Amino acid sequence: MEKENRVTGDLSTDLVRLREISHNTADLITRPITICGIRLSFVMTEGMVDLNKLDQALIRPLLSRNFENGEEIFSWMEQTTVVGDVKDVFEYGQILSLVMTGFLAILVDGVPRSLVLGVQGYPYRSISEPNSEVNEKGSRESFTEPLKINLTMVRRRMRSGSACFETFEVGSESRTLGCMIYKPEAVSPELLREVRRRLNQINLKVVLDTGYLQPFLEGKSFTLFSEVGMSERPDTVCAKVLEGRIAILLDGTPFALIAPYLFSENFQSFDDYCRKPYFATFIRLLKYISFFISIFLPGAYVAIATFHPAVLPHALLFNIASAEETTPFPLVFEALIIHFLYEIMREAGLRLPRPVGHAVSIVGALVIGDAAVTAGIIGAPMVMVVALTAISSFVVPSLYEPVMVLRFIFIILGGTTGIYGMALAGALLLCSICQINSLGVPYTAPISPFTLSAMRDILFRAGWRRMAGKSIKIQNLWGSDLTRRKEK
Amino acid sequence: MKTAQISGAQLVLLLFLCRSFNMLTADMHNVTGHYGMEQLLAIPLSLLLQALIALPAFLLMKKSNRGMTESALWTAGKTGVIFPMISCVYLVTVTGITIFNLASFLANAIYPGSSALFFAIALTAAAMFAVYLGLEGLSRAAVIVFFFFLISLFLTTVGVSERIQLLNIRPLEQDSLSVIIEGAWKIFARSSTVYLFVLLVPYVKEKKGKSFIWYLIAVGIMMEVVSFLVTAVLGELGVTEAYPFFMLTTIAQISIFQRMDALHVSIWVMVCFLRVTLFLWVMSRQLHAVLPVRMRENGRERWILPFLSILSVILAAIMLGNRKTADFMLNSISTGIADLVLMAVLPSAFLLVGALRGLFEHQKKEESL
Repeated sequence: MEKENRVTGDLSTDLVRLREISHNTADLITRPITICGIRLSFVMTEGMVDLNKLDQALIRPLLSRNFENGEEIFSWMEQTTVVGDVKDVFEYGQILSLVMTGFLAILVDGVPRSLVLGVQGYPYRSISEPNSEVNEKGSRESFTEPLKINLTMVRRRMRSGSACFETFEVGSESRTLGCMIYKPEAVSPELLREVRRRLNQINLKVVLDTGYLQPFLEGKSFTLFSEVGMSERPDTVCAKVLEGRIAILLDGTPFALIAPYLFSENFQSFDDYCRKPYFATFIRLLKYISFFISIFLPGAYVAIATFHPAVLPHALLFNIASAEETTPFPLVFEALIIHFLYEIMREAGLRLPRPVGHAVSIVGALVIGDAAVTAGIIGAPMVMVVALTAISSFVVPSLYEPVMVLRFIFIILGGTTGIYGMALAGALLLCSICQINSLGVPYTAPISPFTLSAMRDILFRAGWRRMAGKSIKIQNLWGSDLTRRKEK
Repeated sequence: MKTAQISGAQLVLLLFLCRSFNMLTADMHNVTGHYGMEQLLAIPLSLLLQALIALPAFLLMKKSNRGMTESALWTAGKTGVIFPMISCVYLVTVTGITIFNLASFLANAIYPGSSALFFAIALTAAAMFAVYLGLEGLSRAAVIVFFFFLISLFLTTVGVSERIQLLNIRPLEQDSLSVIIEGAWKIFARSSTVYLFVLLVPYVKEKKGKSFIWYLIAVGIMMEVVSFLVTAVLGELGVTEAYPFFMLTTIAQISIFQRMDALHVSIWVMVCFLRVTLFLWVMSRQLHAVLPVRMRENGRERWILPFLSILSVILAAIMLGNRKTADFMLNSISTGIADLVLMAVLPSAFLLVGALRGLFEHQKKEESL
């Protein structure tokens, strides 16, 4: 059986066998040629090989030389061809696997092996600005789909060679190429072992996106918050890797996974480190406040106005009461309706082409919002609360999903049980967030468990002179189960 | 990779919050019945008393190198089961009283006319789920709640600062010493969290002794501040008011906010939730330790938590339904006898039995080997 999978050296047999194994797929090209009386064949996938490169680096020099036998052709190619990878392959399965990723396989009559050359040249999206992590300052590069291009972007930023790239394949059918990026001197060996173990346990047939890997890297307990981060910025990935984290890139996905990932990291952005510390600190505090507003404000407004109106100043209370007098629904229903409408409009605006999306947003904001107030369906203060909440939720985009779900929960609780229900649910939510361990590191670290030295980049952002002195590794945070490493 | 241990600081903050639950009830303020220096002096004395009474328990744990329940079973064999049993009865009662306190406060002061039982059931259900999440999550959450608690206390203090009348703090009277001693004992009798500290020592990673001292200091400062505020602001009104600290928050005014009670109530609900969760967690651990192996193999242990939760709610419901029963329960638990038995009498007895059987010496030899 093993012999049947090996290259025989008889060109016709080998080509027939390759066709059989690939189920005679239409995009597999086999191009037999004869040089100095020696029969050889190029095997490649249509549209995945750079033909100009192939012509210049291989075909022209090959045709201008004399060869006595097949082995001589291979040894000449191995010594002189200037292309990416050059590999000796002996099995059909391996040949096909490489050919499907853009390699060119050469089979020579009489030689029981194949030479595989990396002359990939498939079309891909060029490097563009990041969409989900837009920044004011700093690099404008974001990851693109081909893994190799992404790895180049990371390597360009870490030229000392301290970062290690470890490739792996995932998906029994898709055989998607992935790469773990880590700094051997910084990463915890336990963390590395655990990530490798979890990646090995993935039993998916097809892996098309890093999102497929995310649940396998996260813990088993159900939680709204993600223990694995995502970034489309190579500079962010480099910074995380230096702190002892592991980044995972996947071919065909412009997003890198980052593990472990902490709650406080949702509030950090690359811009923070390009600005003056006082301004970065202010922005960070703004983000924390926005996060609380986006979760609790509508619920708290409903709860206070319904159950605890005495807390509000008389003038504000009077305004709210007069606005609500004309509306037919209780506050809790108003809040739910308008939030539901807002989510519909947001989703529609997101999926539609940009010009249409803008139109939908304008129609939603101006026409429906204004019309609902004028028609007396919804009170004006509620529209203001929803608008503030909606804007706040975009300040921390990585937490949008849990925030949206929690907002609805807190509106319902605020409207039915008042402050009591909200406080109880808040405490429960806090416990459920605090119990998360992201690959051995408490998700809420370094706030709780508290690490004083890490505080310079959590609620506040210290200046670079202070931060340059000592980099804090993820395993050195208080409460981490990973073995501590000496700070350098 | 997951550990089940917490740090000393986390335990201190967790128990500090559990103790601060009593802040809203009348428990802590009118134990002496004298608003003034007697109350303020009774607090440090009660802390000293707590430390002294907990000494045999700490000694037993140090000698046996085990937790309290394990030490009881190790020294006294099957008879040692008496300790976790009495302990669970005590803790269930305290949990029931805690739930009752919160539910009756909410039904009377915040949501007049609503069912107190609803608050009790909702709280217990949430706490039950939190127990399932574990001690680590609870202790980490306590650190964050602690900051909110401090903010709330600070805002209340600032909000009532204009109303502080130092004349309200009465000087010592002739028979003050007996009042102070009696007050100290009463404060001790309401300090079930000291006992909780003793039970949680095995789950602390390091600095156990220091943590206990810090806990006493932190609780002492908090009690002094609260007692001072209540006495200085409310004066005589504090004696008759059912929830004196809550009253402070209703009159605290900061900027556009006319009162701080909504903020304070939400913090208090969180604190109560942490307290009930911690009590249920400790109880389920204790019962788990004494559960027969056969029952553990049959998976019966999973019923411990629901059983304890239901028991606590039933107890709270009985108290909510009958004021006389509630008073009886509150009075009987406030005698301090249970704390004395669990922290001093029984541990001393186990120490004696262990010494007579030569267990400690044997343990020492084994450890040295």
